[in-house]
Amino acid sequence: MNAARPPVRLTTRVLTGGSLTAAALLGLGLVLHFAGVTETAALVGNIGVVALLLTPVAGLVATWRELRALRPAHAWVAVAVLCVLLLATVIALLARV
Amino acid sequence: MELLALVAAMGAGVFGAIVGIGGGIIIVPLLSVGLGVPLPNAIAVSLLGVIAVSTTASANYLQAGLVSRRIGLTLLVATALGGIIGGFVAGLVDTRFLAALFGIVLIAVALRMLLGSEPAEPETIDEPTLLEFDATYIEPRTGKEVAYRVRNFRPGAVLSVFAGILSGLLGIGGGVVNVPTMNSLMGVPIRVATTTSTYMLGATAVASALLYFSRGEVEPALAGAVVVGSVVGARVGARLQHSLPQRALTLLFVGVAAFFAYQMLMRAFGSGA
Repeated sequence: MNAARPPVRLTTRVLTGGSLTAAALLGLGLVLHFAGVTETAALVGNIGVVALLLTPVAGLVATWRELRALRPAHAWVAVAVLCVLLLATVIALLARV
Repeated sequence: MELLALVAAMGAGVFGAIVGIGGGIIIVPLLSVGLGVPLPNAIAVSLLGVIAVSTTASANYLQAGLVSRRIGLTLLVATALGGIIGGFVAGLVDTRFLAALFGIVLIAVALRMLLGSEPAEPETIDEPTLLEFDATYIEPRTGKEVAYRVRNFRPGAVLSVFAGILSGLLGIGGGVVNVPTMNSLMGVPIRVATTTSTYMLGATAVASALLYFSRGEVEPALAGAVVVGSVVGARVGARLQHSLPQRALTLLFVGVAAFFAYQMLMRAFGSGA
């Protein structure tokens, strides 16, 4: 009934790895905050935030890699999503200035 | 305060992962009204919580074959474009009128979801092309492969553009529009609609979250509590999602839609409007 399913392993690994890394860094930042090491806590926490923000983007890149062999048209839709999100970010940042 | 935020984020993560709305609906009011966190800071960490729920739960859903990446990615383009348009037309439209309209439409959609039934399973499905999205998924409760035929794709994509516009103008998350668009209009089973919506939310939240982060509105300790809680909650929620019947998912989502409809109508007609 079903056409061959494109693989998902890379995307799931990227999403899981990214979210766990971000949570670990932010959790460590939280512990350091409670311990009173506020400057280091903020630094570690901010690195965690950056890791979290990069995770969906890395997930889209992984999706593109997985879809390009079996569903090339849809793989390019993933690239289009990245482009539109980049455009939205640039417009939002420009509007702030 | 951080410990309370962590516990609340766990609950939001469980609920958000199951229903496909992320969890901002719970975190923002709790942080801003309940814990006195300034609204921009509450929204900022809530967006991070939504990203955490999306990335954590969708890894589980992808592995289980419950996400339609083809539908999700295509609607993501439309929603993100709508978000950009929304940014340009902000200030040109009456948001009270839009809120009233959206509230009424949500009530109609919720009723349709409540009273409607899942479409019959097609005997054959088409090989996917750029605009063909027929697919199958393994229903976790039965282990049976279920086929579904996607209809009204173009109207669904147009609606997603409007969803992006509304999302920007009214400050609502995308899930409350994505799920009924996929389920009620396009014929995607509610389980796939909610999981695909969860997959979409992370990418849509990144642009807004980056903006808040660049303004220095992310408080790292609070973000830590919310993200850790969201990750734990989303893992639990993703597992629970597999065991819930489709009807229960529909009822949960209808409850969320009714809550949003109430909020929108209060914004349009309430005394503080």
